[in-house]
Amino acid sequence: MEKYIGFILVLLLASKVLAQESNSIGIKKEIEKGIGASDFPPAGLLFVDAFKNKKRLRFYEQNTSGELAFESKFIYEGRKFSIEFDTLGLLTNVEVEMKWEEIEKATRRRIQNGFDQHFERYKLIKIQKKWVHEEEEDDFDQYDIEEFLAEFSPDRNKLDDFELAYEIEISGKRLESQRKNIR
Amino acid sequence: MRSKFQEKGWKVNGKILDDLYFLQDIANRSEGLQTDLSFDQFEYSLTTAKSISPFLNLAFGYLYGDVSPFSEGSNNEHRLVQQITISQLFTRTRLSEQIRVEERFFGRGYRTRLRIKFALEVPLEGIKLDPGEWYLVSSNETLLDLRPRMQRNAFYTENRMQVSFGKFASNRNKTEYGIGYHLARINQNGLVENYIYFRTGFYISR
Repeated sequence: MEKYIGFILVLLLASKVLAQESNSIGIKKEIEKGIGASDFPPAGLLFVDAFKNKKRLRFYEQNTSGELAFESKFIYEGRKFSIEFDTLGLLTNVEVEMKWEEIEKATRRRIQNGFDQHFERYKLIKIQKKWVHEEEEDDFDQYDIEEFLAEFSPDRNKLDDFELAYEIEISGKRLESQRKNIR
Repeated sequence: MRSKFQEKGWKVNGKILDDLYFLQDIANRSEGLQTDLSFDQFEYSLTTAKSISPFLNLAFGYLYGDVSPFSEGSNNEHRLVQQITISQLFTRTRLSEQIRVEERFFGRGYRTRLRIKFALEVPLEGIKLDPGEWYLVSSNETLLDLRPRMQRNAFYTENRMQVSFGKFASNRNKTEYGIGYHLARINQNGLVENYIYFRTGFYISR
């Protein structure tokens, strides 16, 4: 069954560079380990606390290609959230699970083109909207939790200091010509 | 001057199609970054066709397609086509059924599909369609993916409905302008996307 490989595909669809980015598909390797709240960076805990009435709160330590990060997952207002912090507890990204139909139609078409060019067939497993902090900002550590929450809503497509991307997990069969290239 | 080829009942048909798709992108527009997006899908085809009887027509051909939706560079394909058209003329209306098998070759991979189209053609000026007159043609087409189950997203992959106005300039050429509604099953989850497109077609026959 080696033909059927699960891939985590990250489609970076920054709204500013949509056309150019449409075919950029990256492959990511992620190892996740459950941890207790006491092992979580305190600044991160403070941020997570600001989401009131959340359910099923979990904490994880994450190793992405050698880089350590901390992640908190919970359900807030009926949606699955996952918020990532660096080792100092500084916010790096916010992910919200969503449905395919909730993505803008033109963006959906771009994503579909990307998949069609790389896979014979595929199945969507998980779709997340992802706001990634633009790290080049100097005031990275100056974010205000209250301000963030006031501005933030899962339906937003734009958030100051953050770049929007979609992370889509699929299982698919790569096209023959592609498979030869990656071996 | 008729060639031997033509004397045996064969014809050469050329076709140029342009399907224009518009997709609204509300989020981008509100940010003033980009207007609505559109993409063109061009098809040029050359087929040889023979009428076996007034009701039955056979055709074989080659098609070159070019799609460049949003991405840089085009995504072209070469296609081989075999088709059977069965048609029947009632007093005014022509009802036809076209069954077509296509072998599609892309830069990345090969796909084959079966298309079944029902079309209804009505002359708009008089009872019979004469050169220089307009007609209305509506069709519904079902597209089936013939690749093995392990390679395709779905068997019944697409459906296209279309209504066009055509001008039958002469026995040798005609032009059609239409609007279509395209449904496509895009992945194994069975998600269906729908699109509206505008089609311009130019047909020549020799």
